[in-house]
Amino acid sequence: MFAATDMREHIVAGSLFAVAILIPLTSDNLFLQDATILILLWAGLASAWNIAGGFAGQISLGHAAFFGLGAYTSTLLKLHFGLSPWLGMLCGGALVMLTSGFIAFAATRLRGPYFTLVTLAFATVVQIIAARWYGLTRGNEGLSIPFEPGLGNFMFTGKLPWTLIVVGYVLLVYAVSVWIARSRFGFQLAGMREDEDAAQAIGIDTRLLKVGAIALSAFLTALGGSFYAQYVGFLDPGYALSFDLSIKFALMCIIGGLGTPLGPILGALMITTLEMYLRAKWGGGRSGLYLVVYGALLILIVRIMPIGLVRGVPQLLVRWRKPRAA
Amino acid sequence: MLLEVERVSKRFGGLAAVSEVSFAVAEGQVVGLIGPNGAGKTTLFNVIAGVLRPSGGSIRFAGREISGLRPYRICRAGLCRTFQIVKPFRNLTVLENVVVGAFTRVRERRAAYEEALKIVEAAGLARWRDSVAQALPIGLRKRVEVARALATRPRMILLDEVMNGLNPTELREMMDLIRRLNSTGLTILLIEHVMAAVMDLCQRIVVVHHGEKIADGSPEAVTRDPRVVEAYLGEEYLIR
Repeated sequence: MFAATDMREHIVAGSLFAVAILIPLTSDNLFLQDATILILLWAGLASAWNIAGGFAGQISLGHAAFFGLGAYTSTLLKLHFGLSPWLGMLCGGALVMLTSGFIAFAATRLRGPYFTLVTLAFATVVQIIAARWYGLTRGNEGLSIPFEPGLGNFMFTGKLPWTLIVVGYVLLVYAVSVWIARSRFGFQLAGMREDEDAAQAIGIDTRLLKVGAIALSAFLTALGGSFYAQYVGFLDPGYALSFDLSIKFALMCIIGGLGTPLGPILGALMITTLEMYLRAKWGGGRSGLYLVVYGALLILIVRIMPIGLVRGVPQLLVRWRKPRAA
Repeated sequence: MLLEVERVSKRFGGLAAVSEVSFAVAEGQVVGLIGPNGAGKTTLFNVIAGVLRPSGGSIRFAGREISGLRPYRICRAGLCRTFQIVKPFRNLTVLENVVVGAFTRVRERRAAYEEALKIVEAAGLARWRDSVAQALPIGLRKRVEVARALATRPRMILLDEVMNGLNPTELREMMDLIRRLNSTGLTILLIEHVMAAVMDLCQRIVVVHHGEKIADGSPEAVTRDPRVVEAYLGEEYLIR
């Protein structure tokens, strides 16, 4: 689908990645370097969510659990067994794939809001367990990962390696998304998203498809979780398993364009920039004022462009270019 | 016989929506399933297509028991259905709708597109190929529904009221399409209220009333059956 715009999307995505890599090479501004890495991380995570929520139409508000489980798995394996976080990341991914696959399978008859509720309930349970299971997670005190730079330790002093790794992560998720958009799998997902009964009637095994899409989406989310834990060096259930996180994944996709490979990347760029800018500008003064402005702007964006930036902006350009004759 | 329905029943609690209905469809036939509203026609379709599990009886397709199989398996076995209330993939184009169907048999994207293009043209939808399905009027949406089902390469197709609510031109086009499909060897079972079309297209007609089969035979025989006239067609039909 969207074949005509494919090339244009690749060009936009490619330029964004190039700019991202140039930033740590050319600028000494630590804030900018840090922001770049976080925006990319969000872009990857939102893209991962988009596979379930956008392509498959299975709106999850429980992806924070997949993020957090990935992060905790690699971190705990590192702290207790000294396992390299690179391997820990894959273990986390595998664990999350199984968990999410099981949930998707169990909730296979639930559609729309009912499915969303199950994901939300699951994430809430995981968060509570992580907060209470002090022996394993140190509860709300959180876990710190000691700073021992080294490639094997997935820990670096400069920002460039971090940037390269996270660009690799986004590229991976973007490539998977592009493949989905063009493949049999993606077309069948689109059919299921549009009408599950009709999809079954034309020979699509929607249960298998749902489990597959959600497991893939959750796996990629878990990878991002492990990256986050390594980058920040600290992990607590109040953030890494929070409902806010799940909302943010969804929000970025909705703003950017559901079910498009580029949409979540643009959404992440826009929302994270907006959030950082507003916090810097108004965050210090009247507490919470920036959140009000942030909320109002989000409402405005969705109102103007309900179909998301990827599809909305070209439409707008076409309208502007045409003389207002009619 | 391609499709054999044997003493099939479907009960919802105490209500027998379909009771002990038996009939068979031979390969290459066009058979009509008629009856008053609420007679159990769509329920019977849903049971055959696997959406509902029969409470009793057996359904064989091409000699193989299919009752209790899930819908996607029945479609892959070669028996595909359309919905009375059309269910197009609303945000996909007409061509994409059909491509999704074609992907049931084909793995390659290019091959799926080629096959879908042929079907879109055969169904007279070429002009609307790139229109989003939800933007189309009902007559065309019904054709999209049929085209998408055809893309799964069925041996037999179940059409649920694909001619209702069409204007005379659309109706003629749909009837032509059905005739053309049948001439290529496709077996068709259709539920329909448009009697002129049913009488014209079908070699055989099965009549259900209150969930039971009350007649089964040629159009001429069925229209002369007093039980059918009383239950469904009405006196005027007989006189005319």
